[in-house]
Amino acid sequence: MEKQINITEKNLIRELKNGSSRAFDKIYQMYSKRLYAYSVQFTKSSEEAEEIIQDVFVKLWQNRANIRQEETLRSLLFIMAKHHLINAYHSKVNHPVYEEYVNHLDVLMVDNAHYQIEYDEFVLKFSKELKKLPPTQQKVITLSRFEQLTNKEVAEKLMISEQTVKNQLSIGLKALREKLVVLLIFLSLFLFK
Amino acid sequence: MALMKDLDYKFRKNKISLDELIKLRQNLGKMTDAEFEELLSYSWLDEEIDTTGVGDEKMEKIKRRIDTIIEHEQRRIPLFPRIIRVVAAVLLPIFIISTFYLYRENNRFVSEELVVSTGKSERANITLPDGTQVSLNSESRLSYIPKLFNEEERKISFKGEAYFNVHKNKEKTFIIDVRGMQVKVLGTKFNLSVKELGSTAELSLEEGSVLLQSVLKGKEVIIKPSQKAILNQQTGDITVIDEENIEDASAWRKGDMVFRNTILANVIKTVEENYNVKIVINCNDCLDDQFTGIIPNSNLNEVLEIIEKAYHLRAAINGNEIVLTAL
Repeated sequence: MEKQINITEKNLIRELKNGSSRAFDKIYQMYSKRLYAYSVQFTKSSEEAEEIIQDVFVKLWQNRANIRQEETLRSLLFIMAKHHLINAYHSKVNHPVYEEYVNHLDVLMVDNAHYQIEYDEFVLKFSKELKKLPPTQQKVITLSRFEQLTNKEVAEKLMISEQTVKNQLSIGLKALREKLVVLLIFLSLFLFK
Repeated sequence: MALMKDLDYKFRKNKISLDELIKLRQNLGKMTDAEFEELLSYSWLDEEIDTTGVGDEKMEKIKRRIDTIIEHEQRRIPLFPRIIRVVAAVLLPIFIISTFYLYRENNRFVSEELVVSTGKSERANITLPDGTQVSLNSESRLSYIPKLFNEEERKISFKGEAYFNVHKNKEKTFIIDVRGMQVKVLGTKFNLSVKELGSTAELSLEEGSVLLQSVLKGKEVIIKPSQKAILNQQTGDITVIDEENIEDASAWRKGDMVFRNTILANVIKTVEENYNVKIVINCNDCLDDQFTGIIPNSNLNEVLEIIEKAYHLRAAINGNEIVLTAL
């Protein structure tokens, strides 16, 4: 069975190199869902993952003449997707708001993915609740967490002391986190998908 | 490396703790690009990836976009060039004549207006040429001219109520002409209600951003997600309010659940499936009781209230479950 699959793939690659749009369609049919599901693990956003799929397959078609016959479809797609995936990975792992999200999931202790809020939605709710905070706290959190400025940079920009920045961050984030836990624990239990 | 693999796995599956995230960040900083790539390639090539949640329609939509982009470069290379050249001489005159005929027929159609309308208890789901999806409620009408639609702007006329999922296109504004105002969007999800008898029009925005222009006042308003814009058709004024549960405006899309002489146990099962919750009932034999009534599809609180009142129960949340106990 495996040998048969490999032969099919080799044929598809050969046909694709020759410009067969039928082969291209078949390859899309075989791998797009897997690539999408995998990409979402990195982007945490369905829209971004869709863009990756789009870019990868367009690139695959545009570079079809340069494909090496010995390549496998799986590794080919990975090569074309990897820089998107790596960028998405770095941008999430290093982003302060993503950290808030992880902290939030931690606090809720909801293990079942079904009841977990998605990152996209978390960012929306976070931003929404943020707007309800007093102006200084709002500005400080936005500059620090969304624009990723250091406390010193925030202090300079808003012309307040670094200590004030630290205090405002601490108070604001605490209030935000508590609000979100209450809001989202309710929502996540009754979320219907 | 084993630790990194574990942290990476947890991150991708959204099962990572805060401490682990920080460790992952540190480890990531220490790795070379090549090492990191190798780590990722293992998971892509060998891991079991669950695709059951990925919809066919979504993949088809993306494929259409891909095809549109590469369409300009696609050249269909004939597999048997010699034979085709010979045959072409014969087929060409026939081909030219039929193309001319089709072109004339097609042209006539394309300059005309396309109308989609729904009657009293009808609903319709349509997809516009640019990929925008529209869910029409009853007694609604949407029209546009296909030839003009994909030019510089995407324009449609509308009345009634519909849920729009506008395909994102920064180059071409999507414009909806309704009585009293114009709605301009780039790519977004919202519910629009413009009914003939009412004197207001309402737009409830879920995602993206929308610009509304009042025809009477010439005023322009931009709204953001979770905001609702209300146009007073008589004065031309547009008011913007913040809406906690913005999705309620489009709850009509889902409809309610109707039960007739259904035993409570099955009613509960349907509620569990629809709202994705687990419900436990502690009562003597109420589960065999026959229930007749309408249960809302988008308001769990109301559902619980209905059941509480009907069977003298009280609902409480216990972890991930809802527990109903006899009073």
